[in-house]
Amino acid sequence: MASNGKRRVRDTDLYRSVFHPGDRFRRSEVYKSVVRHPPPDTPRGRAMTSFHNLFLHIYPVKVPREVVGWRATLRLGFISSVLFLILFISGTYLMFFYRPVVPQAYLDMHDLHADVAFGQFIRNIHRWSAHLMVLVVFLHMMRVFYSGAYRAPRQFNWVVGVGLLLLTLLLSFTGYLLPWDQLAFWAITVGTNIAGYVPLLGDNARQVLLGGPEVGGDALLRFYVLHIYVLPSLVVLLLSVHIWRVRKDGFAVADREDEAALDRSETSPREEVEDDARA
Amino acid sequence: MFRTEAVGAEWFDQNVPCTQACPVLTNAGQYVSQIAAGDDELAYLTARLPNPFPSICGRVCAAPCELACRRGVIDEPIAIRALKRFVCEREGVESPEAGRRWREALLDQPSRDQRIAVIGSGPAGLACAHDLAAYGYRPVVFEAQDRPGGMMVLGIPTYRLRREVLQAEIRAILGLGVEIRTETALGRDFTLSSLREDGFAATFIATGALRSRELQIPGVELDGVLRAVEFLINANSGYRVDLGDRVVVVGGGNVALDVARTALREIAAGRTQPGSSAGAQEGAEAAAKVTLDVARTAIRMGAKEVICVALEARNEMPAHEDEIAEAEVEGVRILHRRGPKGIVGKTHVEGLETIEVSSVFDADGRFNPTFTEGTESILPCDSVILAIGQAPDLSWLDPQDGVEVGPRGTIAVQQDSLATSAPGIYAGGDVAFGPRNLIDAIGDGRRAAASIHQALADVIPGKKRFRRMLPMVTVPRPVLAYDAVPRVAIPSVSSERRIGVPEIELGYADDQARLEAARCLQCFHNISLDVDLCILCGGCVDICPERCISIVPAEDIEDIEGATAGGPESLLILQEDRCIRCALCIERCPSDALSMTGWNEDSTMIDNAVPA
Repeated sequence: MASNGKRRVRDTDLYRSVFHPGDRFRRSEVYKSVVRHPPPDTPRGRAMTSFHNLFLHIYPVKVPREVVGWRATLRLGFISSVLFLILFISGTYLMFFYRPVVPQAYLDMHDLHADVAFGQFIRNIHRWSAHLMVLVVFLHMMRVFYSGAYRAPRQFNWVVGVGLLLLTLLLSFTGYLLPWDQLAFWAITVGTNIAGYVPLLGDNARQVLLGGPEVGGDALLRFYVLHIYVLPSLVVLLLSVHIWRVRKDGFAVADREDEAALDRSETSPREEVEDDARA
Repeated sequence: MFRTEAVGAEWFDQNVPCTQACPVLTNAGQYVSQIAAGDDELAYLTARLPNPFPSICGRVCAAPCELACRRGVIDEPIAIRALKRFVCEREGVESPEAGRRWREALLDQPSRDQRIAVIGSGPAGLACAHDLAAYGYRPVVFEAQDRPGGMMVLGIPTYRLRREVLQAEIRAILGLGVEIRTETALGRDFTLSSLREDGFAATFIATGALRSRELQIPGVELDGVLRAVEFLINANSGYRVDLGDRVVVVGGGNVALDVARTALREIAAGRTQPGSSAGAQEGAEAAAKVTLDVARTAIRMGAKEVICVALEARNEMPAHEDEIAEAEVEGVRILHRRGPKGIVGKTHVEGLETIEVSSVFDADGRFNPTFTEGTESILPCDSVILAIGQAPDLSWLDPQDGVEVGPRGTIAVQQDSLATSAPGIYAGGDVAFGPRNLIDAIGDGRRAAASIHQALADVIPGKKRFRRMLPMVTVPRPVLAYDAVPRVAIPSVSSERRIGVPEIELGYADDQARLEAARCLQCFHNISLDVDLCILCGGCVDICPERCISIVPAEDIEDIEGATAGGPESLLILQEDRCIRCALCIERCPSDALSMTGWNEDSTMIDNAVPA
């Protein structure tokens, strides 16, 4: 029969080597030892892909339809994480060309613009992503607040989120000093002076931050270490807890699902696929 | 709302649909999985012990198991029949390995003196003789024709079933100590009472249904009008039948039934349950198969044009879609929704007058065709073959025998024991139920043997259980993406080379069979929950790709014990018919509450396969 003939042609090595060049790679032992799930073209394949992949298993295997819609979360948490990733990568690049020493810090920042490949570009990416991250994290908190998603059982995750907001602000603050120009110098002077007004702890806090009575080489080094090591590590830690709690507590949108939505989720994934195909 | 149902051995049996669909309860899933695992010897044993004709069933069985197969819900059912053929070609009677282990497993009963008469050597008769020999009796088979096999040799065309396979299968059964007397006809050479006088302890009648039904239309007496069974018997016996160039075959399946008790929609969806309606469905299926066999044989006999006239539309025909397609590939034309009104011609057939069918079934789904007047037309042809069903020939019956006849002209039997109204006389197969599938006839033979054994050896009746739960570490899955693999097409001879007698269907090659077998969902594996360990985390609900696990509050369950006071607050529900046994829930379960168990056969499979 005709379909048999077609299938025979499609099964030949020649046909597959032209139209499915990835076949050979996917049949290799190396691929099979790394990727242990079948291709995600059946419900089971999709479940295993999600279950057996470190990055994908951040999400549950199944989520309510409403959760993956735009309006549920506006993707603000996800955008914040992506911005953090961008900052991590671009910051790593900048570290190769920057010394946290007076006066080299300022000169390195200048050299970055003139002598380093993509230097200015990467620095601007880093800078704008940082500004955006503060904004997006704030919007994310607003979304959670106004949709009531902070309520039980998610109260602990709200606290973790507040911690992440503080860390974001601290990262922004510590990063501000690193160019070692006038703007940086006076901004940190003002900022740390404000810290000095905190009752009881104020003077000590200011002393610990600056490593001396005023903004100088010690302060630059401390801010640098906080900015590139201590604070990002804390963000990674808290972010992991944060995402893990999202999975544990379930999606807030799911709480609001009405009976009809629950009924829909009872349909098998196959039927949904067929529904989509018909639509 | 959910209802509760006790989960016991019976439930676990019911939960394997392929096995339940088989009249002899062949554990199809089990041998398919054994093929997938590469253990052909064990697979053959699993297939052979409940069925004396695995090599034949592997080629021509109607495969009710495939209709029931849950894989059919996902894409297409497992090609169970083709896999049976595959394993029989390696381990069965047609292979050089030909049966050592199955004989050892079968013949473990003490030998008994009683002789038992089996009349008819078709599938029912030989299956009965086979089981009687296995129980230790001395069965004697009487056959009117010159060779054993009944409809297997007379009715099944050679292009479906090679005669060497059939002969080897029969030889193996005769080798168990079954005596056969050919050319000895009931009513001519002996009678039921003479058997009793000769000292036979019991008699099983399986003489089949070889008399063609008559169609009440003008012109049936003309030359060139043939009956399907006579035509097939002549063709399969090697006699030349002069058909002319243009042949019309009348029949589509349902026409062979007095009343179609099952809506065809139900059959198509595979939703028919074993029970009273099954007989009608089998009969229709068997008749449809005969129609197509006749048409295809006519082509092989040299007819230039073969047209099938069927009352049903294509999707209403009770034949497998594959078989209709196969016939069409070979050049058979099917004229749907036309009914025969009369045969025209002077002394020899010149044409068939047909009329349009306006409906086949009435509002209740009963077979009750209506025709549109004024739509008559004549189909010119040289011969007409009537495939409108068969009935048993009971002319040998003596009122003094005390054997009652049922309303459909068949011998009346008790459904469970197959005993007739006369003591010590049993009947099964077509003679008791009208035309039915091969595997149903085999089931009848086995059932009758079990009843005879029960009566003679005074075995205490009662359900014996031969399966037990075995804990498993994991479900063996030889193919990682077993759920994505499409049904492997069964290789067949290309249409232009289908001339004469060679078998059309070729068996699977080794790698094809292993791949196809690996598609089995393995419904005999069950997920068990240890309620004391479950922490209700919902991980299994999340991971299940088929969404068959759900956790529901106890209020949603009817009649659960202690739902109100101190009983369970939530219940974990698993929808068995959607479960694909991927075992991801077990992998996911953090508290080890879920585990996999196998509902497996014990070594004494033979008794288990006898329907109780």
